[in-house]
Amino acid sequence: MIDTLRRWWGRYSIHFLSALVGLAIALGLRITQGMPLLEAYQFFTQPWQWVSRNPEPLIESRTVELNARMAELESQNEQLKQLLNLEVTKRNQGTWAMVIGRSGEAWWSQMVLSKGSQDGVLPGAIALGSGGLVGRVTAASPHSSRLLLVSDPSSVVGVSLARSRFMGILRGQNQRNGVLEFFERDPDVRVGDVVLTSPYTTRFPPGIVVGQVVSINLDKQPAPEAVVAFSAPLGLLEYVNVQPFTAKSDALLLSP
Amino acid sequence: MPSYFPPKRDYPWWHNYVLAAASVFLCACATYVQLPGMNLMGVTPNWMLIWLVTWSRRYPVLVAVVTGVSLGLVQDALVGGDWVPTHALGLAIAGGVTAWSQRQNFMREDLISIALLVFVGAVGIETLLGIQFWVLGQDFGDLWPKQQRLALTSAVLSSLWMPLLYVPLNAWWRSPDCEPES
Repeated sequence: MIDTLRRWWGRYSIHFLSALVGLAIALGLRITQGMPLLEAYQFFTQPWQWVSRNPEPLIESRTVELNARMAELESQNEQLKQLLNLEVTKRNQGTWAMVIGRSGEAWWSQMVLSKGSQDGVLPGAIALGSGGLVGRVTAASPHSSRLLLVSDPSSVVGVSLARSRFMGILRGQNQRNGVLEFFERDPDVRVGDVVLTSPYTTRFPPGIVVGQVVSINLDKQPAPEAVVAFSAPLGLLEYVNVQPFTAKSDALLLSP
Repeated sequence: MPSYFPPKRDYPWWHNYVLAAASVFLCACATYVQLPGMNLMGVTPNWMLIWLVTWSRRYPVLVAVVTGVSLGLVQDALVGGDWVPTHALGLAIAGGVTAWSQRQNFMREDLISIALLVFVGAVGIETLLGIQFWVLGQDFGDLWPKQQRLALTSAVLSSLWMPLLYVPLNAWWRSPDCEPES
């Protein structure tokens, strides 16, 4: 028995001792919760760490998060306004209408919708698409209505910058972008600023997203200008949300 | 199996240790890396087990058991958490059985036998983990269907990917530069 053990030891002592050393190292790793291993892993995988993965699910979850945050902030805002005894502008649910006609000549100026005065769509109602403001109803028959798009040159929207509250007038250009003319000489405007309908506009309710500033020309005479990309995809619209609105007549008349 | 390395003797004495440590490190990293084809229903191959089976065939049972415990501790360290449940138990038994079956000449040295060992080992390890969860108070009814799926998936994946690790390591360890097998 002793002899067998001695022979075993003679043959395998080095392996056994190495295994014990390995065990000690493993025990150390276990006690430190694998810290050295993680450090080494981090070091060796550095070249691959920034390879971008499929971003689409991330964008989706980001959208969900932003929607939830927006709902939260909106309700908070409503509560604060109530505390200050300010008028709460209730967002109407509106009705959804299909785009049933759009002529090639007037692609950027007009659309025909599938709902009319029978459905409560009256001239003056505003149309929203996913992304923001689309336009204003100019005429309505019992079962259809005509929409003037914000990209039409005759469409004029009083707008303000969400960040700095500087105001101006946004005109359509028969294309994806409109031109924002500021009232003041030296407005605080940056590329990327969000443009909303202004509190003084008579034709639209205040605070609706219209677009985003894509370029700025402060040297323009007589007033500085900015090019604004409309945030609603005006070229792809199939459905719009129509909300009844009557133009304020007694407000400060900024827009014609 | 052919040797991939020319028979030379001018490696330093520690080259075998470095190779072993480096390959264990790679196995440890592989638990974090998700490569296409290596992931089936959220389960990855049990690389530690494959390494252990490759290693244990050349050593006595006691050494294999100690190695299994060490690898289990490393795997626990990667997962974090408490000392139980531990991978060390299952890996120790797997290592011991591998070394013992080699001694008894039950197993021939071909990929099919090794795959079989890995398959049985993976099922055993997952089952032992499940038993530990059960003893720690998890509901058997919840545990059992999940554990079944986990054990089978792990076993299939491990034995399919086994050659990737087994072939190069075994070739190296069988080359004359390593200590001759007893």
